[in-house]
Amino acid sequence: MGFRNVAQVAAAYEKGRFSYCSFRKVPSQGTAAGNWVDLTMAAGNPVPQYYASSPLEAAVLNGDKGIFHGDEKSPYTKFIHNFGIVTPSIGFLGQFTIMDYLLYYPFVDGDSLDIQPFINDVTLPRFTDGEGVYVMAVASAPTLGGGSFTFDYIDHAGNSKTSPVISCNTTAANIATLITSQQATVAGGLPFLPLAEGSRGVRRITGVTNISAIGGLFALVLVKPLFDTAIREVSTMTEINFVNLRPILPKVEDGAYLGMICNCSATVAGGLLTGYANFIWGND
Amino acid sequence: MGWSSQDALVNDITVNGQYMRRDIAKITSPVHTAGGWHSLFGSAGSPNATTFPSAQDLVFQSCSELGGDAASTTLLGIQNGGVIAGTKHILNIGANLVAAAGAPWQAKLVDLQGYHRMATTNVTGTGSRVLINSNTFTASSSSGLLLTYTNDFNTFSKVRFTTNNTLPTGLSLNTDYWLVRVSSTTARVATSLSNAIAGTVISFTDAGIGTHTVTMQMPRYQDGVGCEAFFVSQTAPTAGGPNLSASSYTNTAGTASRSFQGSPTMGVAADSYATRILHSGNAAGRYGPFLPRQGGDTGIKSIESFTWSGGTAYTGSGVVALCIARPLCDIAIPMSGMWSERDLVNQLPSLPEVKNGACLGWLLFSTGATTNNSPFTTAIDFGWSIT
Repeated sequence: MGFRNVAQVAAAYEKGRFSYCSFRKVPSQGTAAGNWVDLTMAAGNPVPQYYASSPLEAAVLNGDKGIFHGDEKSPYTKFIHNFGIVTPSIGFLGQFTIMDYLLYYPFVDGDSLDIQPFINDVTLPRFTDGEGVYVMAVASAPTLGGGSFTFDYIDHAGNSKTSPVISCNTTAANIATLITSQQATVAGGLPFLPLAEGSRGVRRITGVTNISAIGGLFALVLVKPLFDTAIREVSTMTEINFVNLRPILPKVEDGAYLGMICNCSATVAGGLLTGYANFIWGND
Repeated sequence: MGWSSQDALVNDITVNGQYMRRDIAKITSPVHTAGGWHSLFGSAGSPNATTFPSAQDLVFQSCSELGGDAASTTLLGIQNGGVIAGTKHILNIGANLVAAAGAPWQAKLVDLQGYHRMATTNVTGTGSRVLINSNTFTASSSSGLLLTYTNDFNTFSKVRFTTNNTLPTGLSLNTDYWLVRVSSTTARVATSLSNAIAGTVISFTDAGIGTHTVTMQMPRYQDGVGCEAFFVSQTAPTAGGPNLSASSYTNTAGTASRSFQGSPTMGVAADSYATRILHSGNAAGRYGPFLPRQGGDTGIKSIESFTWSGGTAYTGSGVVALCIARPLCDIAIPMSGMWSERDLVNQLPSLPEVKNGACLGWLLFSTGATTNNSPFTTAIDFGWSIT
């Protein structure tokens, strides 16, 4: 259950149906300006994760170890109500996309030109039909620069598809960098990977093939974007009150692993990012 | 329909789940000229790029969310949730562009109604190009009422029928129908877009009497109210830059022989590259992103013809599309990497309606020359109310 009106949103606080979480990230990985970087791999709180599990086997992240939003609320429904984010570091000036991390395939070999089939013993835990689920490629060991790949997947409608050929950053991408996000490169600059014709999302990935060597190791991560925000100057908190400052209330599914990616304006290494989120859940 | 209060909106989003977000990513290529507008429908990324295909030049190709472009299967529009029994609105938009140069930018979201594609002599010629918006047809039986005509019309085209005697049973005058394309010269007919998507078509009873005509309609705006037109280059001509010396269109009121104003110049080869809106730019005679309509007109129902002459005729084998689109909303991107947002409920309470079947895409204006291969990312929040 959600909220039938604005009064019920306000009443959630009176009734104790809210939770609060702060976060603080201090990345050590260097990134290039204009690239997207996955902050779930950055040190701090929540604890970092490194897409470390059995290679090429689908795996999920523990929702309690992302931006903490509390326990399961079913049959009620949980939403993000307020979100604030601030930095003293110029590297963090830019866009942030807050997402539910659904499923990942770790340790794709960036050098192999053979098909690398994935094992799908685990399926999407949320948004199970794949509608609106995007894919991003995150370096878990630095790439060499250059290279391209394609991947086979089952789309939102259950159809087997092959992605277009996707070019990677032409310069080496450090750990945590989205390897397709370098600006001013052919077919680059994209946080999310382009899908084949007619696909509105991805249900699972069945394999990946490097067309030319990328180097390093990377993970393919299935995510559901929830909302975006931006830090436009240092030491000034950007705050969103959903409903009043943004006419949506992003829904947080039970078990969701919340994290974010950043389109950084300079390296985020040594930078500091902090913020908070308020969560509320539905009516009696 | 829509929402009568913010309470109703909150209820629909949080209780009924009538909310959807779409992420879009396009890559600007080649360099966008300073002061120019560009259509990102033809740019690589997501959704896939269109090449404005058409089996035959000059034939109106109606565009929809699910219909692809012409006879191909490329879905060129931003997917927005399909047909709903109510109204769908844009709640919020965000946009970002990361480029070494070119800022600030303006982005305009449009609903592409359709286009007339041109190549070879239709690009290089100086005579009048007569555009095709209608065909005569015969009716027969083939798993329903089957129309047979000359040109290749896109599936899910909205049409109306006229006759000099009696239409086939099941078809009426002054009534909208939707085509379900069968081949390059045949289609079945549905009574609604939903039926067309579902393949529910009108049965065959008889072929009618006399000569019948099928005429393309603007698919989502009756008589083209609020619709605008622009020329966009998909493949650059080799050289040249003619002027739009004559044109004829029918306005929303049904008045024919209206003409675009100002003799817009189409620009020379240096800025006639792929995705460029040809008549935009800084010099005299440039208008962007849309062709100036004749005074008092509130929309474009159809375009019948145009003539490029004066200036310098195009040479080479370019591909150009004359597009008709309905603008929905705008957002400014003041600097590289600056995620911009427009809250269309609280900040600019316009809640642009997204019609069923809308073929959404972005037009982009560059103040400076925008660096090649720059990523343009946007997100759109949709909400809808059920009737």
